[in-house]
Amino acid sequence: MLVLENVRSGYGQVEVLKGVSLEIKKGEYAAIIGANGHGKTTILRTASGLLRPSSGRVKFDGEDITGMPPYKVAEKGLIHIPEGARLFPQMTVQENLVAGAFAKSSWRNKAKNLARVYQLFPNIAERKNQLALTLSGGERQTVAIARGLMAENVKLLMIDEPSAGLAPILIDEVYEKIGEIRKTGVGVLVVEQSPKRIADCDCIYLIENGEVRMQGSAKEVLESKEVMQAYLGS
Amino acid sequence: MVETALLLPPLLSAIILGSLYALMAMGLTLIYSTIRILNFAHGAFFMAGAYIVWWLNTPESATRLFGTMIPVSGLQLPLFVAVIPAVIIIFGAGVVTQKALILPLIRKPNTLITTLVATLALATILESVATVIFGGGRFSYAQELVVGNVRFGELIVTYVEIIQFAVAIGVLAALYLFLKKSRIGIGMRAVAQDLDAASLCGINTQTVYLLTFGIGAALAALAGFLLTNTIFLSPSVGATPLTIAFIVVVFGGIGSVPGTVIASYVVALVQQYVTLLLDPSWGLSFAFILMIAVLIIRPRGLFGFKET
Ligand SMILES: Nc1ncnc2c1ncn2[C@@H]1O[C@H](COP(=O)(O)OP(=O)(O)OP(=O)(O)O)[C@@H](O)[C@H]1O
Ligand SMILES: [Mg+2]
Repeated sequence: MLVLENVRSGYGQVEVLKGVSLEIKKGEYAAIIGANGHGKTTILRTASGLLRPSSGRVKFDGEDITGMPPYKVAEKGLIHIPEGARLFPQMTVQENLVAGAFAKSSWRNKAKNLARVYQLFPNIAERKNQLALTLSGGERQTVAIARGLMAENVKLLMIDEPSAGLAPILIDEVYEKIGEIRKTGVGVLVVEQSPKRIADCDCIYLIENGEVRMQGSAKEVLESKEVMQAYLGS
Repeated sequence: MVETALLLPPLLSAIILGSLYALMAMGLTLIYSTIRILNFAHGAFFMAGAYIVWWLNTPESATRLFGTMIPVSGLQLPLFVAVIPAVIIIFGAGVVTQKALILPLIRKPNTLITTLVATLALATILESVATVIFGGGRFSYAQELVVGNVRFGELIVTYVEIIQFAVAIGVLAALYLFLKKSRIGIGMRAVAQDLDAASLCGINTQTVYLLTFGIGAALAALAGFLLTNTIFLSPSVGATPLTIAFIVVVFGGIGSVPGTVIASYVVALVQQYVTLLLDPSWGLSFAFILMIAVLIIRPRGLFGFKET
């Protein structure tokens, strides 16, 4: 579904990704782990078109999307929920969700998708007229995921650190919801710091210094010497 | 001492004028909050819109007063008809400006300064073009927009003023609904609040930029038409409205829509009462002084957000 081939990417002169290759299959549940500042977010930003790779290819659903602007990538069904939720602070919860349905094909079905999203996340339905800037961290993360699901025909949801800054009980809730989303056949790729949250992933990539240090099943990666070392004491 | 009866007419003028200022300044606010640039060509769009109306409306016989060099279309469209193509043309001019002038400068270093200089250059060019075509003389429309007035006791309000007020308020209200409810309006607000998040939502930010600049310019053209029913038209007619719009925008809190509206009325009130109590030539200066005083106490203006 999503394929990165030897992707190099970064910010201006600074190269962050030094040849990253990965493949996430249709409907798969995958995770990217790694220490701070090693390029996890940069991988998602390059996949969604916010960054243009300096070399390498990005493919999605059999199509080459390298260098495609983000709005077109989103229309293809590759949805990126950015780190820190990045809601529109001066808009209400509902307006944020409606903004997620901007693409013409999504706009047509926005009433239906709103109902679906509110059913999936009843706690944000209660807050639909509240300004986003007044939400709690957990609510903000939920609205960000919900906003991503307002697009028609979501095929792969890339969520950057859904658990950042949340209390453990809220993290459980967020991952429960991610589980429900996966049941609808949508693929999910999460960036996650905490190994225990991703024990049921189909596939995990360990990123180090802008390269894939290790990849494999959850069991292989999480029980490996590298990950043990990286996360021991952290 | 000034009699209380004398204090009422300036209040009324301030309400009418404040609405026109708000219409003018709203274009700047939209463009700044969405594209993050200051458009110094806003006064030139104001002027150009008014000239297009004048060109479409003025009968050839009237130009004899000015000599034969002044071109008119000869169409003699009624003013309220002529304003429609004028606003559409300036909308298009705004779109072209964004595409040809702003886009190449944006996302390069020093965007705020380079676009400021570029729009200032555009303003100067448009003013020269107007002078070349129409000469430097002061024009007014061949007819009044509507003739007549109403009396409220001591107060006399012309129909023209009522139309100026009603159109300005009506358009601002429509704009509010557009920003609140329409697909493009929500896209504009999303881009204004978080560019990356907006593009991840499937919003084509380049298209939103084009439409925003177009709408901003169109608002200036409409304000230009409305105001030149009561002031003379000349190539430099946009200069004062541009200055006022900048005062309003900074005073209200740059990028804030409610701030723009409230500051428009405050500036108009200050101007009108200073005109009455002191002298007309002091009106604008006092508005400036007030703005600076407010900015010293509250640098982001009345309703400005903290930059994130
Ligand atoms: N806008 C930017 N401009 C320049 N450098 C950047 C920018 N954003 C990130 N970087 C640098 O790129 C590197 C990788 O950043 P990235 O955000 O991809 O890391 P990450 O793995 O997501 O980290 P974290 O776990 O802290 O979110 C870092 O060294 C960072 O400083
Ligand atoms: Mg990150």
